[in-house]
Amino acid sequence: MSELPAGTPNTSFSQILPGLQLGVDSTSLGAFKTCPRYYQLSIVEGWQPRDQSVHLTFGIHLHKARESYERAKAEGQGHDDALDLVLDEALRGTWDRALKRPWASDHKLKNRDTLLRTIVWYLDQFGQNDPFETVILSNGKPAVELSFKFDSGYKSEATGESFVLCGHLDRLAKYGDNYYIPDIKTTGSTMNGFFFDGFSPDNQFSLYTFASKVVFNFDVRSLVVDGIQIAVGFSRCERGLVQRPPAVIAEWYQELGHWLAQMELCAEREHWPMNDKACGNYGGCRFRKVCSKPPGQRKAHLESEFTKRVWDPFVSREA
Amino acid sequence: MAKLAAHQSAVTTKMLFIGDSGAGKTGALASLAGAGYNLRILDLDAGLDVLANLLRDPKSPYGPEALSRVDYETITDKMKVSGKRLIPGKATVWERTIGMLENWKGAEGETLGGITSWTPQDVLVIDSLTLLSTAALNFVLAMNSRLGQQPHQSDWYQGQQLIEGLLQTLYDDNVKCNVIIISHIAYIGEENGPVHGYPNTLGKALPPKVGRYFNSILMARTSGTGSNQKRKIFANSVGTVELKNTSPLKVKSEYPLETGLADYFKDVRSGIGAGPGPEAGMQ
Repeated sequence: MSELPAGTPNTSFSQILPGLQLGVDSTSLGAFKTCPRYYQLSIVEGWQPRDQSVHLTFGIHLHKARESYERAKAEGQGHDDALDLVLDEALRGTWDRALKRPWASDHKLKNRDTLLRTIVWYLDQFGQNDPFETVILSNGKPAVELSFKFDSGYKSEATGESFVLCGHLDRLAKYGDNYYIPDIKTTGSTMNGFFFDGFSPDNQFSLYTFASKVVFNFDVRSLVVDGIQIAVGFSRCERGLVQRPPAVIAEWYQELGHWLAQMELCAEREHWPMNDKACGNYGGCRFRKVCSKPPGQRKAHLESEFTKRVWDPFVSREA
Repeated sequence: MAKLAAHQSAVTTKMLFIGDSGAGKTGALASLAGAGYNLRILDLDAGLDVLANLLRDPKSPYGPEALSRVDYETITDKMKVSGKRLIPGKATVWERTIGMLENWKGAEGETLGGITSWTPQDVLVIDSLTLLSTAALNFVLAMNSRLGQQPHQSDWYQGQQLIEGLLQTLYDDNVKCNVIIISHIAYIGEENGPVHGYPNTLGKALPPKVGRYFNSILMARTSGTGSNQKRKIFANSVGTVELKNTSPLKVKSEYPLETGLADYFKDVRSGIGAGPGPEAGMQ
């Protein structure tokens, strides 16, 4: 995780211009593109809701399950044994030892029961006999949770420091002679073709495609979204391709320069303006109530309703 | 702002070549090899016998060099029995087809590069859109571990997206070679409306859109029977099938099948001095 406790030094920011982030991942860049004020509050200042989002917790456990499953398979375990191991890990991971009780989620779709069911149903469909075979690296380990970090080719005009792109690929897989990046995405809605259309264009997937070529030297043809619809009584899995032709990646990279320059401008001015047309996106921004208040009242609201953490993309998940 | 005089339609033909089975679509390609174009055929129908026989024949009117100008790759999947049905053992056609477009590897290991490196002297042929569409759908089904099962609604949509994405790529200005996609005809009727003939691909929504990715739509058709049978290539709309061409003032309404494609290529390039200038001609 790139998320660290409050007070931890954030190594992804410039020492010369403190508000300037030099280590940029898809979360940070996506936040800035959505709304510079959202970026300021969530990434630069590190505010987050006091209760960690159930979506985030659910997603972390699900991704961890796939990772552990692949590692077990690479060590020679069969599907059933690997699944047993993963479920055991998920049960332990969702047990609060201090309080001696399971992870308490009041979300009707994302809770401990639906997590365990989703892991089993997902791996039964896309674990066993998966046509997308996880690439085995030269060290014999499966290509899962691959952290990357590389010079973007862009520099800060103000400080002369290089912008570095970083992040984590869930998995690298092969179908026939071609390479793909599978990624798990959950939804509460019925999945149809339009669900997969939602990932083009998409900042995260464009960065992943770019990184796979630059860092890992894999000519990735497309990304594969393992979509999982989570309902009260079932979990339904559906796969879709998300294509990134080279010309699209070239355009994304060119425009990256514009966004990094904007990030620098905001840092220099110590002002990240509000995009008040993004407040209602995805069910509403978590900072909507903060931004609705007069500027003088916002700090007090943040301190009462939010807590701080550090988002440092330079810290790899292994660390 | 670009000069219309330099528009790539002057030197590049992106053609949808449609016709019913047996109308002579594949054999018609021979005239292009005879006219000096390099043909690179992705043969998904496993049906190049007629072209091979036409070009191999010592009496071939297309000249002795024509055969050497044709490269091809037959791409099919091995079938297996599942229950009482035959289904592909593994869906590889879509992947292998895209792989060839990105980097064409010849039978002896030589590489001809990707289609973006090809020139107006080259002609990419995909035979046929019908089977390419099946390959796309099978790829989506295999990806979802459902190969051989009834497709879901979303599978059709995803398959259509793959096909449309490929057509967009082939129509892109960066693809400087000529493109011919061969297709059968599907007759689709709108509710309480007339029946139209469209290229045969996935579903009902995609076929009416396919034509927009080509600057030429020609049709091969057989008329008459027995010794009176005649095969022609049409460049203007016929019946319920809409056709189109890039040079209405130069293009004839119909061509003989034997020389038609080469004649059409020549006609649309005539007078602009920008043609690929094939070195060979039919004898």
